[in-house]
Amino acid sequence: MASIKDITLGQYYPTESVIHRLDPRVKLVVTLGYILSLFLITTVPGYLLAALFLILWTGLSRVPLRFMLRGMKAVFLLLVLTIVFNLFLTPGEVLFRFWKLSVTREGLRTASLMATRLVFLIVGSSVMTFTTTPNHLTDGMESLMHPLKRLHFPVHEIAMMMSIALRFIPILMEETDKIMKAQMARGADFESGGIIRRAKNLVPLLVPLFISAFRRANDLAIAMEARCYRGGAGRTKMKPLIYQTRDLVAYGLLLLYLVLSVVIGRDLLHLQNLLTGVLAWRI
Amino acid sequence: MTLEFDHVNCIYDAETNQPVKALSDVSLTIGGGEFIGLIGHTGSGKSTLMQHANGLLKPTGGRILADGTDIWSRDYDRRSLRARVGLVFQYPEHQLFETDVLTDVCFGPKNLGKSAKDAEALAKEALEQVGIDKSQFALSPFELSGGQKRRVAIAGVLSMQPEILILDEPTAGLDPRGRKEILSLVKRLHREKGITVVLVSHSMEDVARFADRILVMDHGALLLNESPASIFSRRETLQQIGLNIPETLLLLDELRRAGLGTDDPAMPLTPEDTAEVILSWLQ
Repeated sequence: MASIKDITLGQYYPTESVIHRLDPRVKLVVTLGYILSLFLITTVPGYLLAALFLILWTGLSRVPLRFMLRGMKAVFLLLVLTIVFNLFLTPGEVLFRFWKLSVTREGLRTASLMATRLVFLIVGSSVMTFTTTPNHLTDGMESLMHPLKRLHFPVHEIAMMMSIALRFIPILMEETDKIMKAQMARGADFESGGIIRRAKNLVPLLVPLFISAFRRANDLAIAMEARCYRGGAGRTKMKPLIYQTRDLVAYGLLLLYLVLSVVIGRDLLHLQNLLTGVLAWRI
Repeated sequence: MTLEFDHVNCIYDAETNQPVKALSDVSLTIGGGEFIGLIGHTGSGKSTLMQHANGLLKPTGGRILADGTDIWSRDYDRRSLRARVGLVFQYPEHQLFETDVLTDVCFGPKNLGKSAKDAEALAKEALEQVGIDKSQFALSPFELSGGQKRRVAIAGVLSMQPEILILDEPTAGLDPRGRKEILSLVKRLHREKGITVVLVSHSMEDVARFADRILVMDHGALLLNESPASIFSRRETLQQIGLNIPETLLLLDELRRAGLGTDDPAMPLTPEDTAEVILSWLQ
C-alpha cells in the first residue's frame, strides 16, 4: 500500500529556492549539459568537479537530501547490478579471488566510476523535477523545441499532450488509491498470493481505473472544445517565459563547468589524439 | 459490535515540509444500532475518520478498538473486520467492474470465502434490499442509470452482511429523486435490519432527519458529539465553522426574530412539519 507514495522520482517538492525560481529552459539545458558532462568525464579530478557541481546544484535547490535519496530506492537494484557486473566481469589484472569470481583492478575502477556516474545522473536530473512544476517543465520544453516547428514537427501538440499526461499522473494515482481502498473494503486482497493470483486480483482495480481514465479524458476534451481550443496556432501565453539575470548567470556557470569538465575531466592525451584525428580527417 | 476510537491521530505526508494533520485526538464510540450522522466541510477529516473505522488507514497515534480489541494488534484479522464494518465510498458506482450486476455484488462475499452458491444467495438478498429487480441481475452494471448503479454498489457492501454500515456522501451527484431513494433505503436498512448506520454528509438536512446522534468535525477534530436537538441549539458554533442548522429551523428562527410565533422549542425537520408549525403560529 505504501508503494505508490514512496515514488519520489519525478515529483515536485514545493519550497523557495534560487533553483525553483530559475527559468525551466535553463534547468532543462543545465540538466542535459550535466548529463553530457558525465559521459565526457573519465578522470578522477573530473568526477570531483562533477561532484562539486552536484553539491552546488542540490544544495541551492534546498530539497532535503533525505527526500532525494528516497527516490534512489527505485533504482537501487539497477545500481547494484551495475556494480556487480562491472566488478566481476571486467578482464584485467587480478586483485583477489573468491570462489570462481575474480576482482580485477580495472573492474574495481569501472564499477566505482559507473556507480558514481549513475548516482550523479539520477540525483542531478531529479533536481530538475523536484524544483520544477510539470506545467513549467512542458512550457520549457515547448519553448526549447520551438525551432522544430519549421520542420512541421507538432511542437505545441506534443507539449500539450505531455502536460495533460503529467497532470493526470497524480489524479490517476489518487484514483488508484481510492478504488483500491473501495475494493479492499469489499474484502479484496492485493497483497498476497502468487504472481498469477495477484495479476488476477488486479482486475477489480484496473477495470474501474480504465473506465475512469476514459471518462476523465472525455470530460477534458469536451471542456477544451467548449473553450474553443483549436491547437497551437495563434495561441499566446498568460505567463510567457522571459530570461532573468539569474538565468543568464546560470547559463554562464554551465558553460564554465562544461569547459572545465573537458579540460580536467578528459584524459588530455586522449583529447590530443582525438583532435589530431579530427584535423587529419579534415585535411 | 461496537467500535471505539481512542485518542486517534492521523498525519499525512509526515516526512515532507507540508505535513497535514487529518485527525487530531478523536475519541468516540460507534455501535449499538444507532443512526449516526457525521457532518463537516470538505477537508474536515470525515473521509479519513471513516477509513480508520475498518482498518484501511492506520492511525499515527491512538487506538481503534473493535469490541475491545485493538484492530492494529498483530494477529488481528482486518479482512473480516472489513466485512463487519461495511464502508460505502463516495461515488461507489465507480468501483463496479464485473460483467453483470449479480456477479459484481458476489465479489464481496466471495472474498470472504463463501461458496459460489452462498455468495449468490447473499447477493440476491442484498440486491432485493436495495430494490434492484430480478430482471436486471444479468445486465451489465454500466447499462444502469446513475441511481441504480449506486444502489448496486451499496448492495455490493451489504452482501457482506455488515453490522456497522458507513456511507460517505451516498447522495452526492444524484437528482432529488435519487437522493430520496437512497436516504429512505438507508433508513429502512437501519430500521429493519438493526444495522448501526453512519451517514457522512455535508448536508445538515440529509442528516438531521434520521440521526439519533450527530458528530460534527472541523479541521480534523471532533467538535461536537451530541443529539440533533442539542446540536441545533448551537447555531453560532455551527455557523462559525461554515455549517448551519437545517433550513427548516433556520426559517422558524428568522420568523421568531421578526416577531412571529412563540418560543416553543418545536424542531420540525421536514417542509410539511414546518408548514404546520407556522400554521399553528398564525392561528
